[in-house]
Amino acid sequence: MATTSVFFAGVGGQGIVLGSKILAQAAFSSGLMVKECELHGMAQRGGSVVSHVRFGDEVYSPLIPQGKANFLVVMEELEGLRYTCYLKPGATVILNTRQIIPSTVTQGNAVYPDNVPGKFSQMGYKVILVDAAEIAKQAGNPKGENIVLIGALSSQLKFTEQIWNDTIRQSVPPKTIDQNIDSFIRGQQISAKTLS
Amino acid sequence: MGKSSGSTKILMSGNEAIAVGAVEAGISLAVGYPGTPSTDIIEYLAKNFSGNAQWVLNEKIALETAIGASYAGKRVLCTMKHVGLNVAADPLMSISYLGVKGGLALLVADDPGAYSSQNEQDSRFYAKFANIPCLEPSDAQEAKDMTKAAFDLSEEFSLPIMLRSVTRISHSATPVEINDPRPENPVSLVKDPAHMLAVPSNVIRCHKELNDKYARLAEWSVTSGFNKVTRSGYKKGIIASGIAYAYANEAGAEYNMLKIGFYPFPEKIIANFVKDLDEVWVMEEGEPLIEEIARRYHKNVKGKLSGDFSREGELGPDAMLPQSTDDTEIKACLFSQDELAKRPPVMCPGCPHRELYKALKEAGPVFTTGDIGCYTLGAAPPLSAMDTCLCMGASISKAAGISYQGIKRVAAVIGDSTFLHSGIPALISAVYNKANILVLILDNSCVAMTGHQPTPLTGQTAKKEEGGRVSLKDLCLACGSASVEAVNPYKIDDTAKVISEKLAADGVHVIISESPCVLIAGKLKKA
Repeated sequence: MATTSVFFAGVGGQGIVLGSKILAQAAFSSGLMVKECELHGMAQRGGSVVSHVRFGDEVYSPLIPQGKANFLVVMEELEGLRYTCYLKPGATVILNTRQIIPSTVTQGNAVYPDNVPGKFSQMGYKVILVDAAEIAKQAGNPKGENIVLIGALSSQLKFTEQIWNDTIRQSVPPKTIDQNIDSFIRGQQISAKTLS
Repeated sequence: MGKSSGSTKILMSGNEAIAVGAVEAGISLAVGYPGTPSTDIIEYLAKNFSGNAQWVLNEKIALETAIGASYAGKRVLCTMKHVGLNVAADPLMSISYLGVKGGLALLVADDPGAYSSQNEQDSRFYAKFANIPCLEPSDAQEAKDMTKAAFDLSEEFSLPIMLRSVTRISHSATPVEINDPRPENPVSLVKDPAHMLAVPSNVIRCHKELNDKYARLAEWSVTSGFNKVTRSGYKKGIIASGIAYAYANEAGAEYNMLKIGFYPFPEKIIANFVKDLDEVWVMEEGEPLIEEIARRYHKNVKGKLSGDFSREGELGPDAMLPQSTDDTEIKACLFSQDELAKRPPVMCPGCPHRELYKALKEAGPVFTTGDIGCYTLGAAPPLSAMDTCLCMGASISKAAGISYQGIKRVAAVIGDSTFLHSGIPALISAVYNKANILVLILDNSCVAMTGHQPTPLTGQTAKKEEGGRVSLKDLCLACGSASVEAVNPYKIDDTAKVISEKLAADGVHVIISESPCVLIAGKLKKA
């Protein structure tokens, strides 16, 4: 298969690294070549965080070049807006309706953009809205927004249920496996519903 | 990392692959100082390697410790970030003359784009400066293969070998094949004064031996397989090294390709490659090292010197997009990065550093010199509580230098691990020369920024075992400080009062702000 590229954007502490590792492992377990790239250190302290996951028969750069992302997983609205130039025309945006106000806005030096979902639609992207915080809470796993979004993304990919299930089980803390599987399934259902 | 079904390959980061490669090569010791993006190599080994993996107080100590293990005949991995190599440059520049015994691989992780660093220096120049070989992988599998090759090569040529990683190698996961480890070397501590004493009578001979080795290494590289033409038949070509090779492949298939993974190489490989080409692109992270050579052999070389790529920042996969032959269509970002509200990293909620800075601002020093760590974030608004930051350990020396000009009320802010790294000699120097400064040591019981590595102040080792323990207060007193006071930063008024008092006093005074990083405070209590 041609290379599929998934760009994750969010804020340090939202679980982007785990989310992208789960996706990368699921692709790898499905027999594909995978490259996954994340950023550590300074960037984790509540700053903007991105990660890149690419899979297919052959993958060259671990970083997604501009204009080549098939999917943008937006964990925080403002963060998603920063990276539209990475998207292919007509790409799909999995958008968590979540706003985390940055210090520059609270200090009055910048403005938080309004109507972020509308801006993505206006650019011609397919947008899947997910209230991941609410869904994660319903699943008894308030920290599991990342897993809900992976669930939403999974309905757009062709990996088997078994592979997703195994990967999540191996990736999350043992005590939270059931809640995370539940978060994943709920995310998957929301996404399917939005599209139909 | 996890297994793929029906295969022995595992998805792992470049750093994990380097760690695994070192174990497969039969190391007996791994030693380093934390620094993004190199940190997780020692962390991985501390957790997964049954042998000795340890943190030491700075990079110079790490390399010297590694040399000791090599003298005992053992294989040893030494890790640091690029700026850490500046600290280890002293032993490096002379161990290349003397040579090593057991294999010594020196992993240096560069940070093009300075995502977590104070500069973008290119470690390949250090390898060239010290006349040692440098291996530069393009993915995790190659990082592992090159790590193993480095140990063999180190023993064959009796030289330390540099492995140059970059952020995108260290922290990118790609599939890696796992092999059985080679047994460790037996202990063999042999006296060899001709190659263990860096004294004037040995220098010229050792220098000649080194130059001879370096020339032989360039020839060795020809058959090594690390530098090779991977595509031919076109009129345009790309020379790409390390991670840039992965980026170069994004440019499409209509370029001849020369992959560079080993330095030194004979210039004839460049000359031969560019000979019949109309256009030559050079892609490398860091400085235009290969490009300078290529320009000597071709008139139409495009890269950083020609102005086709930026000389600053990360090269990344987008550099060749304008030349790409596929149908990529890039839509401009809806917003420019300047239009969107920025989200700089901030101190965590409840961070003790923030409280300390509030107290410091209340006390009102004339100038505050800072250092490297989470607390550097105190330089940003709204705190704006730090006036300068340069490199590890510099806060105390800079404050002293200011104080010698008759300026009073100067404060130096330094973290506990940074103080141990290189602040101690600076403190003694300030005492010795009668500086009038206040040194604030922010003791949060760990190296927080790089992921909470332990220090001798808590006494826990990298392997989470009990090690020797050092008292910070006793240490500062022994350095000759006029006074050492501990404060609780959450009691802002009390802290401000102590700071005010000590800022006004003559001599070198130390205040230790005692409060563990909020992210590990709970764990420390349990332990």
